[in-house]
Amino acid sequence: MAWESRNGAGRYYTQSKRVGGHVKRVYVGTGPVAELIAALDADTNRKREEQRAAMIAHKEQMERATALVDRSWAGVMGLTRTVLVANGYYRHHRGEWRKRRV
Amino acid sequence: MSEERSAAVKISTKLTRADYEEILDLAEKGDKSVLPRVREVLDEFPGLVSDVGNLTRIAKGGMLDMLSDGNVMVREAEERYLAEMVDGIAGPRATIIERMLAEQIAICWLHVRHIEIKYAHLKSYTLSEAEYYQRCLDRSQKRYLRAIKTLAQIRKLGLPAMQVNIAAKGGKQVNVTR
Repeated sequence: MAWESRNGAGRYYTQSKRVGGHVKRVYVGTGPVAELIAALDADTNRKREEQRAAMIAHKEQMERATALVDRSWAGVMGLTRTVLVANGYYRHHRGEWRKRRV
Repeated sequence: MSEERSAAVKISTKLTRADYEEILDLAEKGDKSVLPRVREVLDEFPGLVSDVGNLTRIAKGGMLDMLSDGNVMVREAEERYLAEMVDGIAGPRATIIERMLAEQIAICWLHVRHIEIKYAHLKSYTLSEAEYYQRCLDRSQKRYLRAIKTLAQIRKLGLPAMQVNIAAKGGKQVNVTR
């Protein structure tokens, strides 16, 4: 969204719109109505930007939580498997644990 | 988390999960060349129990911090509830492994709740964002159920009590059978 000046005369408010895969600059207007539309556009953009930042923060926290759980999961499962193997168990077809016959 | 990332996770000071998997795979197949490394794993076992215990504590603390969002009262209440939950799952005569799995179940449950709360608190989201949250939720629920199943399997197998050597003050060693 931007204000443009053509041939050094006036300020025209324009919007960029995607039409058929191409970005086109669309003339909106000039004067108080254009000012109002520009303010509304700016507000919409600000809200969208805030939402995007909130979503990034959300995702970062989710990734941090997952990394914490991943580490303890890997440790506990590694330990469990060590105990089972040391006691002569094996995973039958990567499924249930069975005692190896001696 | 991808399998590749999961394998790279260090579960002790010396070994990654991939190292463990490799050693245990070879040991199961009866490959005697892996014996020195098997000994290394068993020698390291008491330290490993302690390392994994620390990882579990860090995960639990981190999850509680995130869930309580700075509210000390909520954190304390959640921590107490979690301790009761672990005691209830583990039972009075749990072995170390059973206790650790019970704690893991509680952590997985916290993780599921964390994602559910985050998802519920979103004011608006796009389709791809909703899909992202749904995928995270599915993965955490699967892991939660897998942790429960693993504990059930371990109990069914009735593993013998395990001896853990704990270094005491003055260089003495305390042997604890649990």
